Amino acid sequence: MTTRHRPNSLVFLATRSSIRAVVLCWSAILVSLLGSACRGETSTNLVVSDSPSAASGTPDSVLADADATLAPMIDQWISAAWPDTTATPAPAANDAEFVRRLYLDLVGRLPLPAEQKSFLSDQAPLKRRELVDRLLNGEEYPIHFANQLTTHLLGRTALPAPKEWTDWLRQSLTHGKGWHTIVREILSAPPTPKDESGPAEFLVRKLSSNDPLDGVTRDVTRLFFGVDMQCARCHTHPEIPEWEPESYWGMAAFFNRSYLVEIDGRKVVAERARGEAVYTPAKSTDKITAEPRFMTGVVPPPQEAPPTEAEERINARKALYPEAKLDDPLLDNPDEYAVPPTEKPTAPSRPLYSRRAALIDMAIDANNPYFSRAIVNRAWAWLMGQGLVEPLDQLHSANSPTHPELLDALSEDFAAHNYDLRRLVRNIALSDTYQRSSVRLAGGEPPPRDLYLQAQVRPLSEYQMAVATLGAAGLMDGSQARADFEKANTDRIKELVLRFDTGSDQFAPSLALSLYLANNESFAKIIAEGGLVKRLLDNNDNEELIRTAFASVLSRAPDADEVAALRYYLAARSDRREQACQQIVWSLLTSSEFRFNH
Amino acid sequence: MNPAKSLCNPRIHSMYRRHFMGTLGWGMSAAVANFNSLTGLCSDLRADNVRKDDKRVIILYLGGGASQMETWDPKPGQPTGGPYGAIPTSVPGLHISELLPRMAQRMHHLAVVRSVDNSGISSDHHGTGIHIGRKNEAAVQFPTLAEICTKELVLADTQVPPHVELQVWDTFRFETKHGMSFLGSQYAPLVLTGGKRPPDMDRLPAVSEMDHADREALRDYLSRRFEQSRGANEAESYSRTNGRARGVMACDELLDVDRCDAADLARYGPTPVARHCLLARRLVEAGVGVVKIRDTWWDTHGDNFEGQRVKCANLDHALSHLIDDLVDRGLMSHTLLVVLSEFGRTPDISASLGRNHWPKAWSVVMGGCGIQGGDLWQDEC
Repeated sequence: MTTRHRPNSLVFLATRSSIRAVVLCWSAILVSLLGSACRGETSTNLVVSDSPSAASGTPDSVLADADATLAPMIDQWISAAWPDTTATPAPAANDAEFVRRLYLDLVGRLPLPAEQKSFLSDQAPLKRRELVDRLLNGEEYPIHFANQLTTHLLGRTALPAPKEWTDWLRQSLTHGKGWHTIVREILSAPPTPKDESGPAEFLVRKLSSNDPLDGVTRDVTRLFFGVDMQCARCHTHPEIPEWEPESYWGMAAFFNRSYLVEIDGRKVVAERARGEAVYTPAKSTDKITAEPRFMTGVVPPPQEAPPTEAEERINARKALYPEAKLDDPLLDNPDEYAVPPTEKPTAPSRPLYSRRAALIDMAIDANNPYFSRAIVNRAWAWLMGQGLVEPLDQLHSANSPTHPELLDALSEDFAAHNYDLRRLVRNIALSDTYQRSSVRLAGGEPPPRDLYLQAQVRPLSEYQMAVATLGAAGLMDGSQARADFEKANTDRIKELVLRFDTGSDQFAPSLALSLYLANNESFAKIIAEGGLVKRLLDNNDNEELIRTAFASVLSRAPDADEVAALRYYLAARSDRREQACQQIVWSLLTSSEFRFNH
Repeated sequence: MNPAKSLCNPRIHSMYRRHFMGTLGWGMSAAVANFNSLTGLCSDLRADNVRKDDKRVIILYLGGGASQMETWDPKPGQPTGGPYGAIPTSVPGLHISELLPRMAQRMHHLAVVRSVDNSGISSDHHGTGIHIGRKNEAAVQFPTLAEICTKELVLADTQVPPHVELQVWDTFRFETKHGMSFLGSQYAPLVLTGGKRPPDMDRLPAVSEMDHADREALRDYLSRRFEQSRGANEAESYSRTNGRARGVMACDELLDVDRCDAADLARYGPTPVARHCLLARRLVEAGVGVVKIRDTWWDTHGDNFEGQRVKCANLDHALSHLIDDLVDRGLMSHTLLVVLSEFGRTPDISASLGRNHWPKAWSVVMGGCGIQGGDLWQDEC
């Protein structure tokens, strides 16, 4: 297969060894600069490592961590792209900035005031790394990343998703199941008892749409391989000659035999042994039968024994099912099936040769650069605010990554380490690039985003926003396990997700949302009943009250101006203290600072 | 700590002076002050308020499918023509259905396109084909023409909503709800259904006007500090939109057709479509960029001729007044008016005296924004 990939893949393979060389070289330089460059971390909590950096005998840095060798490499590739003269990176984010950002990114919620406090007062030199590890190994990382993946795969407003899907994804992430295995399970969607039907949810949804073949082809190509080829459905892409109708329809041909059957009142994915995807390109009247091929032009190995028309077998089926239409699976030759289609199936039909399985075997492979890059680019965007390739699903030759070597290196490492999302996320979070401040650099226009000179201000996802709002209003106090919190607040979360959904992957504020925040009873109830207002009223000292409000909602201490302004407000409204506290909570929850990760 | 002494930030000073040191009542902040000018705008609606170079769009959508034969493309005397005659118009040589006598006197303001063919785009009411100008696709939510206009007219900074959809009737038979398009929610319409106001327009009784204004000023103050330290456009646009909520609430009167001028109300009369045409004019004058009026019940599969007669009488009255107002108030030069359906109706008349769906050749009329009035576009055959 490797040799049949088009130039993209060859370039990818050719750069591998040179990247390694550069990484080693940079590591050596870094090692010699230890201490100042690496936030002065000292030698506690070390992992013995056989990596070159650790072997050189300088243990006191992030480099000594065998699983974090990517973090300094990220920083090197990022700084290598800076212009020599003008680039001054922002300083590291302070602890308060960092702790809010990290909780939102790794576990999808705000740090509780007590968690902030303990992090801020922690004197351990490696406390940032320890927090990253604690969050990644805790019960909430699988919950949050299952949410991220659900939004990615099933849609922005799919949350909360069916229990079977959510449980399966959370379990998979808890046990460090590789992304390749997760996708393999999603695309193979084997028949299972209901409580194990989680991974099939993806195909069941896509095949339930109005135009099932288009829905599944577009989404599989876009979500797992990073390319939206919708235009190639009818004509060759104007800028990317390799995306031609054959590319789109070649992908479609892996799925046109898949269909849904209902068994015990439940939709299940079945597949036929026969059937072709036939299309007519724009400005043509030809009917073309699509050959299954991966979008890059790679074709699966030929079917060992191509199906033969066994006329008598098919005629027997026709006699058995006289009502069946000509293209009904019931009329297929049962010899081509492991489980043939039946009128009242107890199991979904399964052909001896499955085109879907052919795609899985061929495309979920370390030699297919699209598979790793698509998810690496996506995870990078989750943590950094933009992809190394933008738009995220336009990973093609006419759209180069901003840092091609970095994307290659991250993808290669990802594939080499069991497609482990946790390792990838950990390394990004440990990089200086991730940990820079978002406060505007002095002077003039902000630097171009893709230089990563400062951290980006990026909107919370709908789900992060829902959980953060409920948490900040006081509905989350640490006494409840996260999974129980989500369960107990399902309806509230669902409503907030829909309210904050912008209909687009781009951030787009709307008047309807603003009116909702201003005047809707259910939003007012979240504030009135959340518990924070009551806690604020327990403070007799106004400054304490203001500090509590800021810590709970904005996860930081107010500055002197803010304290003064709110003290003045509270004094002016001393006759209506409860209402005043409600207005303070409202204004913090609807402020732009709350809406964004920064 | 004495805040008055310790603070030197001019913005804080002004905030104190305006917000907290005034009378016990509420002084207007800079942001709130804008609502004053808006209220002024609402009470004094004149065409001057529309900046000369600003284009506006009014789309009158006759849902269900108006019959071209009974409106802009009559075929009297033909086997398919039906019982109604054609009448001459203010444009020499152009005849329209006798069901539209008032419009006949105003056709010099409109161009007629009689050769619209959208077959393959919409054939039943379920699709949104005519709204998005293309075939529906399951995987992509395309924007409507109105949303594209809203985006292209760049109306982000108006205090009034940039895009309003007036659904003339409460219920929409067959209508598919148009989902949020990929352009995003900022271009989606503020929807008013059946003369009702949009949701969440009223301050909750538990929140006093003072508290409502207080917290808006607090939100604005907190957000602005954040945005100044970060310089993030998206954060600013979030604040700007949140800041418009009170503006739109102040604009409540503008969205309430009953509060239109009494003489206007009398002139337009009581039919829902006419009242919404009046509302559309008022919104456009106040700076709303795109208004779509969605009428319905034009789907005359049975008894086409009585059905279209009633609908046309109302349309004739409403549309003619709207055009008169747009012309008299100088709005026609920069307001595009489009009247369309999802398709026309069949030339063939069915056994139940109905006409069915006909996307192959039907009529759209347009005027304003430099469109040559009196133009006629049709395929000669």
